Amino acid sequence: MLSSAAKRVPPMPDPSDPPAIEMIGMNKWYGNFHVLKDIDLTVLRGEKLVICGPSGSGKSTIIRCINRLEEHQQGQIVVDGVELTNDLKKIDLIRRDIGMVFQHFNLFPHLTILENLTLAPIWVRRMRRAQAEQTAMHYLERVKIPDQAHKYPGQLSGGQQQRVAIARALCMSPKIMLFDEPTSALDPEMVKEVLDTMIALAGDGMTMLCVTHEMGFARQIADRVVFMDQGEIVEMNTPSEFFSHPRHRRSKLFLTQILN
Amino acid sequence: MLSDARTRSIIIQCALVAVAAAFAALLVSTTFANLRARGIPIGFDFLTMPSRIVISEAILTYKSRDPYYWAIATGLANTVFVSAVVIVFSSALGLVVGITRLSSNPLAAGTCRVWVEVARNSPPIVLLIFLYSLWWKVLPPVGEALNPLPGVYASMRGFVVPAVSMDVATAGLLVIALALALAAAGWAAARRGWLPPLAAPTILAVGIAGLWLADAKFSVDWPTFTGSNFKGGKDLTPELSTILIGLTIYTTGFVAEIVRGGVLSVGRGQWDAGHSLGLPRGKILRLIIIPQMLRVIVPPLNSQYINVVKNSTLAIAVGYPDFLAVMNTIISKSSHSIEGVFIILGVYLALNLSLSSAANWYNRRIAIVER
Repeated sequence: MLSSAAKRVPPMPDPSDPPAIEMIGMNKWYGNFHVLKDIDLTVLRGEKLVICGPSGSGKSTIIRCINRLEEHQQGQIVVDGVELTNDLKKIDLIRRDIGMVFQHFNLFPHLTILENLTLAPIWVRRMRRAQAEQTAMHYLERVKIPDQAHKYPGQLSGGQQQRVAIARALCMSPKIMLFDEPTSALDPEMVKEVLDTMIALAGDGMTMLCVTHEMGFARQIADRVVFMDQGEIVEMNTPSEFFSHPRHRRSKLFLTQILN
Repeated sequence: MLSDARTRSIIIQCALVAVAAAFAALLVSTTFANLRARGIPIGFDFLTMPSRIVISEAILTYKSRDPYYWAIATGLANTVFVSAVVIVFSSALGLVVGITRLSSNPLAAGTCRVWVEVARNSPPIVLLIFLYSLWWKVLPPVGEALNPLPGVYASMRGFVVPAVSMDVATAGLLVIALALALAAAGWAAARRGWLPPLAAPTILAVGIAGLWLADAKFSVDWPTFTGSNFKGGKDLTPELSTILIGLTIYTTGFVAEIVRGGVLSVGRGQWDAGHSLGLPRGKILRLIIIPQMLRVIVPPLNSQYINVVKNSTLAIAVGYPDFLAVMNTIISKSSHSIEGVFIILGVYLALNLSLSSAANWYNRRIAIVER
């Protein structure tokens, strides 16, 4: 099912649909430090965005603002037609529709894999346990580790843990998936299994924002590559244009550094 | 041969044991000889003799005609009761205070911080004597007793509360009903994964209706004022109240700090993961943070529980007859001081070792599975 999904042609993002995410003049500070400067970014439904840039450029912060793990101080962020404000109810509603995968997996170590997957559907979506477990097993099969359902996160390899984390997010049937350097903490031989899972997901037409340095992955699935440096969006282009003809001096420097 | 490490260590250990045994034998034989020379009896025979000591209040039923062993048991029951109540209340309060200290509400966090600092930085005996003196400074004489809730009175002579009594059949029925309700709740939780918010009140209402239908023999003894004192109800003396409230305030401060450290020991990533799944703060705490925190806080919490048992001996400062106070009286009355001290040491050792082994068992049960 996964392999066929990977070959399927994803539905093209339609610019006439209302956008999935819209950021207008967004600014964020940590104390006096200006982390994000005048960010304007529109993500269409079904679009895949890869965000890259040197460390400290604000690329993780930008996606953490989308589900309000971080607060922005100025400008607007509109997710799925709802503006992010201090309204806690709205934030919880937005969060259940946005899945997130972290660099360090952040699985719940005291729960089994199955319990990790069913926790939010049961407590947030008020799903019955039997149904939540059925959904969980479905997604565990999609990420190809149904046999690990009754183990604890500490008993799995890094790659397996990250695939569980992806399945955990999918169990909430999100409309948007955020990936924050999902392969950076993995041993090299485990990077591929996680990327394959993400590529299959992209094939299903999921709206995806990935912070990653996996340029092969970016070439394969991204509709656009966003290059950030010092809190600004420096360049935004299709992967083929970005990799072959980077326009900005800083993008060129970054590409020569990561490609060597 | 003597240069062999193992042989050498065995020889040294044998020598040490021999020296220690000789010293102990000397101590014991000298003590016995001295006691015999002064005509002081030794042995545990006195335990079955009538004690004729007065114990001002007791959880168990005690009369001064009762033998010494029953006086000891009465003191022990008082100590166990005080320790258990203080442990339960300070754990519950400490959890709330410790978590509230991390709240973003400055008033709530500040109040809890004051509590923690006061409790941690004052000697417990000062706290107890201060609280005890409040009874006479703050509360009115018995004739003008405060009546904050129906049937509850507070005065210089302590609290008086309504006493509930029931016959054995009703008590049995109540226990069975509670067990059934718990089983039903457990079954529902396993099936749905969560309990609907109205579950607890519903169970309670059904239980009460059931008892009423079954014509339960409840009787509530309401205290009434007779002109000089209260009749009926249950007395909570100033001494018992002071040691319970004082030690609870004191221990809560320490438990709160342990809880705060425990919450902080669970990484930020766990909060991020919970938030990103749409779980609200309270549920993240209950389902993700607290279960992981428990593993961290059980060992330090256990030392606090042991401290509660040890600090309960401060009851002597406000005149509550705890185990140590009773043993003191027994020793001076019976002149069996050596036996008495051994009983004291043995009892506190047994109490604290049982607490430790319970904590260790719990700790093993909840340990995180790795590889």
